[in-house]
This record gives sequence, C-alpha cells and structure tokens, in this order.
Amino acid sequence: MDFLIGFTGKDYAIIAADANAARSIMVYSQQLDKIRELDSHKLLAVGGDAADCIQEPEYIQKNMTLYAMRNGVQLTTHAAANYIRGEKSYNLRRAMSQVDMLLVGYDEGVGPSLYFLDYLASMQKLDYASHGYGGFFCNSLLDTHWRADLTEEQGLELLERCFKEVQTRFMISMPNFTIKVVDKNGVRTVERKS
Amino acid sequence: MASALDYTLPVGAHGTGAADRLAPQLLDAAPMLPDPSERCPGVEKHVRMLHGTTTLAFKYQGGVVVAVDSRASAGAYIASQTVKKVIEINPFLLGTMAGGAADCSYWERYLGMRCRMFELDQKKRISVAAASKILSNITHSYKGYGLSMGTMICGWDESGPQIYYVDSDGDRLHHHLFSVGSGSTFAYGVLDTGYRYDLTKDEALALAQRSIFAATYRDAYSGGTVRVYHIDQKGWQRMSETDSMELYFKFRQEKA
Repeated sequence: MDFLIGFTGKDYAIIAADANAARSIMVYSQQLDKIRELDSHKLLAVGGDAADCIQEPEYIQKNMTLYAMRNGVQLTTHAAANYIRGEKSYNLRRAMSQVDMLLVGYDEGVGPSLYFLDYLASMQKLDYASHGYGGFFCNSLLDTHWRADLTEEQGLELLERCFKEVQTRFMISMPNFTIKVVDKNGVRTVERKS
Repeated sequence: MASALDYTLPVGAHGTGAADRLAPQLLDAAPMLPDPSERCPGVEKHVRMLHGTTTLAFKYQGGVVVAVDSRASAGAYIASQTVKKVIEINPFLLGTMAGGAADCSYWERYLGMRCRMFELDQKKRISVAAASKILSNITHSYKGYGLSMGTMICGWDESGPQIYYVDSDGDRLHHHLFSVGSGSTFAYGVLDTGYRYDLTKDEALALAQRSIFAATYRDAYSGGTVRVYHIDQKGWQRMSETDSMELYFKFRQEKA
C-alpha cells in the first residue's frame, strides 16, 4: 500500500513517500521515513514488504559505503542503479525481496537523474515515476504538468497537487508524506508547509 | 573422421550404474524453484498456542509503561490463564509476547544471552535499538519458515526510554505507542483516546491497565490477569497484577 513518487527538475531531483507503517487493517505509525540517504548525493525510496524495506536498502547502503572506502570513489547514480538492479536480479529466484524502489541522485557533469526499480528487478531511467496505487491517481498529473525545467518551487507545488489528489480520491488515508530533494549541494529533507 | 562434436556415449559404456537409471527422471523433472513466500507449506495447520493476546507499551513523560494480559489459547480452548507474557530480558529490557509462545520465549531468551554477551564485550549496556535489531535480524533470516511472534522490546538506555516493535516477518518499527495481538484494536481504542505525553505515572499505569482490560472484555482470546510494568532510568519494576474479573466489577461500580 506504499506510495512513492519522484521526478527530476531543472537542476535537482525530488522524491516523496507516504509515511504510513501499516499491517493488515491497522496503522502502526504515521511518521515512518521510507526514503533512505544512500550517500551524500543519493536517495532511495522504498515500498513493499515492510521487513524487506528495512533489510534490503540497509544491505545496499552498507555495501556502497564499503565500495567507497575500498576504492576511494563513490558510485555514480547510474552505477548505483545498476548495482541495485544486479543484486535484485541475482536474488530474484533465491531469496526474493518484495521491494519497489525509486533512486534519485545528482552527479557532477551529469546532473540529476531518477531510476525506477521494481521487485522483479526491472530498471528504467525515467524523468518521473511512481510506485503503488498512488500512481493511478498521480501519473496523469505528472504526464500533464511535468516539464524538464521545473524549478524547485514548481516541483514542490506539483508534488502537493499529487498529494491532494491521493488524499481526495484514494481510499487509504495518507495524512503525511516525506519529501526529499537532491541537488549539487547534496540531499536534504523538505518540510511541508501546512 | 570422428569429430569431438558428434561424440556420443555408447549406451552401457558406463556399465549399468545407478546414475544411468536416474537419467530419464532427471531429464523429465521440471526445474524446482523455491517459492520464497511459502518456504514451509502447511505450517498454518499446526497447533499454535497463544495466538490470541493483548499487549501494549507506550512512552510518556515518566518513562515506559508495559501492560499485558495472561491468557493462552489453542483454538477455542483456553490453555492457561496464568501466562507471563512479559519477558524480563535484563534489568533494563523487557520483551512482550504475542503469537507463538515458544518462539517468543525461545528467541527472547536467546536475545538476553546476546545482550549479556554485548555487555561483557563492550563494558556497557546495549541500546534498545541494537537489542531489537538483533531480534529483527533473526526473524528476518527465518522469514517464511513459520515463526510467529509480535513483540515489543522496551527499555531505558543512554538515549532515554525506547520502544521497538519487532515481528516474525522481520519488521522493526520505532514509535512511542504500540499494541500487539488479537485484542490490540480494542486496546488501541481506549489507549489512543486517553493518551497524552504528559500523563502522570499513576494516570499512565491506570490507562495501561484500563486498555488491557477493555481488550480482555471484548476479545475472547484475551483474559486472565492484567499485568503492568513500568520502566524508568533505574530499570523496570512490576507495578500490578490484577484479575480481569476483579477489574470488571471495579470499573462497573465506577460507572454506576
């Protein structure tokens, strides 16, 4: 039931996720952060099996940190996406983890980028993407309003429109969302003005 | 001229060993791929004690309150009314028990051992975060093998009072208020409406007891004794153990 959404903008990429921690019919928490900071310039939003959403990104993050320590360089966003897709593909018929992901990052000379990964280990570089039922309500909004040169202010406004649509039309209550942005200065959390 | 490419092994060249007789079966068999979501088929048919339960824990201004019922059921049968569902891991850590009694008591006993090992190794008490992570790593590694537990690891460490929810799916959540078990929805009802962070100690203990009682009243699988624990910087303390029938008459009188 998780909802992830993200897109690239003029010189930044942005992702958001709902903050619900739910099990069967009950919500345990509405302050869960589903967007992990992989390194200074990469964000990974996860949704799917709650337990796998803790274990898998943690495994990926620790291995990327290890790679950076051993080699003295960080993975680019493209490399990270391929690494994650490789891990998911390798584990697909062994110990599959049911985790959908959105990866965004900012690289010097490349700019912002967004990668869509699903639990069946497919990977796609996209301008905008979503995971979960929320996508049914928001993909059309993104198709209509997304442009490559969206400023951060415009981007946040577009996100808020998506949240509003989800909150009016989707059966499941999603009162809170986490928003994170990555640009040349690194990753940061954006507080929603209410 | 014979080429390596059209080389075929003459039948019987190996003799008539067991390997030759197996070959057609091996060739016919469809590849067996494990279904990761069902590693232990039929596990739901086993008798499971303590499937119905109500447990709760919450943080407030004065520390942590933990409260549980004491009924163990196996289907419609009440197997016991005197179960200890709070597991005393060490003087600063409590674990609660819901789901399979054996799974919870075994793995939380093991967790107690790991926490003691940490203390001897690092010469300091383990944080609640680390302790709960040990348990969730275990449950995640056994995911799909039929473990059944929903537990709250509660305690007081260097960062103050802490509660983590850990279950047999391998999930681990950090929050200030949890209730677990078949009666948890009923307990949440009373708990959520009565909860404030600035509750006094007496109010907090009363609210915990009232919430578990409300669950024992509505949930057939919860009952027996309502046990309440309190945790502060000096560790945990057992505050009360009251029969739910006694509570029923007490609350009824208060209402009248």
